[in-house]
Amino acid sequence: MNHWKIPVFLFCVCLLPHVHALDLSIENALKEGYAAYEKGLKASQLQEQQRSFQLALKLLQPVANNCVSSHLFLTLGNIYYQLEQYPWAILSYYRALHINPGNRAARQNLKQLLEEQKIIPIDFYPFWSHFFVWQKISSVKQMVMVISYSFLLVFFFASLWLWLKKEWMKKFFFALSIIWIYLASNLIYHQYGAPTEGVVIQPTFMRLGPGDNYAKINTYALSPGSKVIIEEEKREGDWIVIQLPSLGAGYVLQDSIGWI
Amino acid sequence: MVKVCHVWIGLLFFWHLGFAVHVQMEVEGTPMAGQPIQVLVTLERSPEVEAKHFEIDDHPVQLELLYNTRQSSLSIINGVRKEKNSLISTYRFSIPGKIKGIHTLSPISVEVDGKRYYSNALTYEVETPVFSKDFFIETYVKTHGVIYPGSKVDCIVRIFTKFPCQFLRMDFPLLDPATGFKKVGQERQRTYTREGYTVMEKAQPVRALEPGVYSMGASHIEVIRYRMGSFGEQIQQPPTLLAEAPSFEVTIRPFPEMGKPDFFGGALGDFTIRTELASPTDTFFVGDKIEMKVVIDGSGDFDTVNLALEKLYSGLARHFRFSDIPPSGDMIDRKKVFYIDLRPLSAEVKEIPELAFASFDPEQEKYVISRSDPIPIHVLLENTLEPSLEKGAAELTHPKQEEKTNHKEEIEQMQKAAFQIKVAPASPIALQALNNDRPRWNLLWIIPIGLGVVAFQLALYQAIKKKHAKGKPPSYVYMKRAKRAQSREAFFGFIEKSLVKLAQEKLHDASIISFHQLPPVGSYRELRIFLQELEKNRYQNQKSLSTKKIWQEAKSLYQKIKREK
Repeated sequence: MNHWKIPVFLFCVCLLPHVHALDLSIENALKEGYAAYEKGLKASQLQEQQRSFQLALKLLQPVANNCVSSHLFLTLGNIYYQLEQYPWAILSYYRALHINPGNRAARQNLKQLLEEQKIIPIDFYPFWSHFFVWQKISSVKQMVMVISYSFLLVFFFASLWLWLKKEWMKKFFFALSIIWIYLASNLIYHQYGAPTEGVVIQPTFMRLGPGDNYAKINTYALSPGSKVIIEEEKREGDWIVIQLPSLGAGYVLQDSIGWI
Repeated sequence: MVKVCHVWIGLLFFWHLGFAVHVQMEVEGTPMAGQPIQVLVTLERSPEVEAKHFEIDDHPVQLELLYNTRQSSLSIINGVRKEKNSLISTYRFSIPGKIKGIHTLSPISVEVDGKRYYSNALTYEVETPVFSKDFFIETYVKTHGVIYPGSKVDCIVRIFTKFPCQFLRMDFPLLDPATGFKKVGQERQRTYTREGYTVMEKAQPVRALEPGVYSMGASHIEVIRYRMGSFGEQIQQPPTLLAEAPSFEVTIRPFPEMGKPDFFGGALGDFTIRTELASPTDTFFVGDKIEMKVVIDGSGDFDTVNLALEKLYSGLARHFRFSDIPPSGDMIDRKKVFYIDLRPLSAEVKEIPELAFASFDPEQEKYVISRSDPIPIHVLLENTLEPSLEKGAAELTHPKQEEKTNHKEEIEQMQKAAFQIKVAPASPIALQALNNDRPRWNLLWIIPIGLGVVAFQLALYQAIKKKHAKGKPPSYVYMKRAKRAQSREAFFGFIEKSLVKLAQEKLHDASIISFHQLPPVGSYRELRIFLQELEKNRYQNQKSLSTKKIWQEAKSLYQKIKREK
């Protein structure tokens, strides 16, 4: 072993207990957070309910920010809903659906909340995005699995055709290849082509430029809970550019928008 | 090589045209001696790139963006479609006043996409202002007495002229006050005549914001007279005429501190408050939503009426929970009506106490306080209802509750509704399941590995095929190919080639390249007839001809000739 490798190895060994401790702290936060959430659900006094939900939020929010769990965002959405912080609840449900569009509870809750808040969800994606239907109904995890395993099928038929030279195998191979390319294009669109979305958290005005001295584009403030498209590449300091079908593009303070 | 260079030069030319940046400067109106000169800058660029750092003579200039315009043009030349999008931004800045004469402003430069672009220098003429008694303006703020925060006033500009004229430049700062006031509603405009003058009146309604003394800037207007030509055209008659109105101050007085109630929310007028329960029942469980209707009636500016709940309900915060966002009221029958949701926090709440509403009457210059009547309600604790359900109505003291116990199912439903989560609940999640939704990107390694394996199989297949073909006579190779042929056409071709090659090999005669050259004796005669028939059927495109049968015949002929010595 080279001399420089020894300290690196020792450093890694020293890190191990810390990694374990990190896991334990997350596990504790989860346990206590869900216990508080359950307590909030069962509370008979409103004040007690509020305190429990606040505690659950404090414990679960940092965990949710560091993992990929649709279920956890659903829980956060429910907590925000109970605390009547509706824009945050909407954002959490959207995040849950972004991770897993198949999360029925999140979809149902979001629909109910949008109806309650009289927010009409507007579909303002480019028309060609409707071609990539699959990415709207499947999670990235499912897409990766299906694409990988369906490639095995394509691979199998390619091999069969190569060795046995049967006409039907060739047709099967081409049909499967086309389907596979469509599936793969869905994943590529989801990762690189789909617009970045956000939710308005605080009432805000869209402005012509990045500053309060620029003219307002909208007469009335954007209502919290509305979904917008974020043009990330046009950020200027604390100001980001968002797009709405009715108003076009405009600058808003980034704190007023929550990233989905 | 020269041709290639020309193509590149052409491409660069068109690329340059497609993404050209243009900067232009012009003076707004006619500059007058001693007055600030407004300069407009127009910048045309591609919408994708940002413009920054405006400079004149290497000194930064602060510009005010007035508006952006987008332009699209589509051209189809020789069937090639070209679409060009550009963003035209108009900015404004001012330079100090100059003396009468011709002046030059150095070019302005701007950085776009990392490159600096320059406008041309601007030459302009400053004139001496000419005033006329037939043309003047008047500015003032129309109020109904003292202005307090929230008061609605009109900022008015009147332009008096005795001749037809074209407006060259108008600068009315009071129509767009920067501080102290907020514009409410659209600017109104009307024209009428008075004492021989044609009067154009512009009125902008504004609302006073904070107490203080605010300066309404000086107003300027430049016009040029014109007369109508023979063909109805306007013929201008210099010189340019200028009219000015001096700046003036407007005072917004603070509300008097004497007698000012804590819960005063800025309402201007004389109002009374009335509350009533909007919910269908007056019995609730702890945490239930109670809808209360608040009606504000009276005279004054209803736009200033709002319910600052944290002030109104300061004494109630420990008994009720309510949204901290002020409710928005609606005007119904000249009254402002609010609906407020309250949630009782304990069963000790017996009533929604009175609400006090304060307004300031600017005419009387005093505060008016109105109080609503308390609304009695019955709040039940969820747990206390359980035993009462089992025992019947006896333990419930309130008559309303006694009535309710007769409807056991109804009460049970109410119990379930209280504190029940309205959205689909979520069950706890384990640490191991935290990253269940994280995609397994490693799985995608299957794709390059699989492609590699396919390439390997292809190479292997080619190698095996080559190895098999090695040392075998061509007739045999063609026979094998005929067996694997994908189409009828290829099948017939390979059969013919194989049998002709076989005759070549057996007769040791390389000159035989067609079955017509086969000797008409023995097996070769048979072969010749077979191939003749085959060709005939092949070119007559007889689909009914069975390839299986032909294969059998060809195979037996092949083996027969092969065995001959």
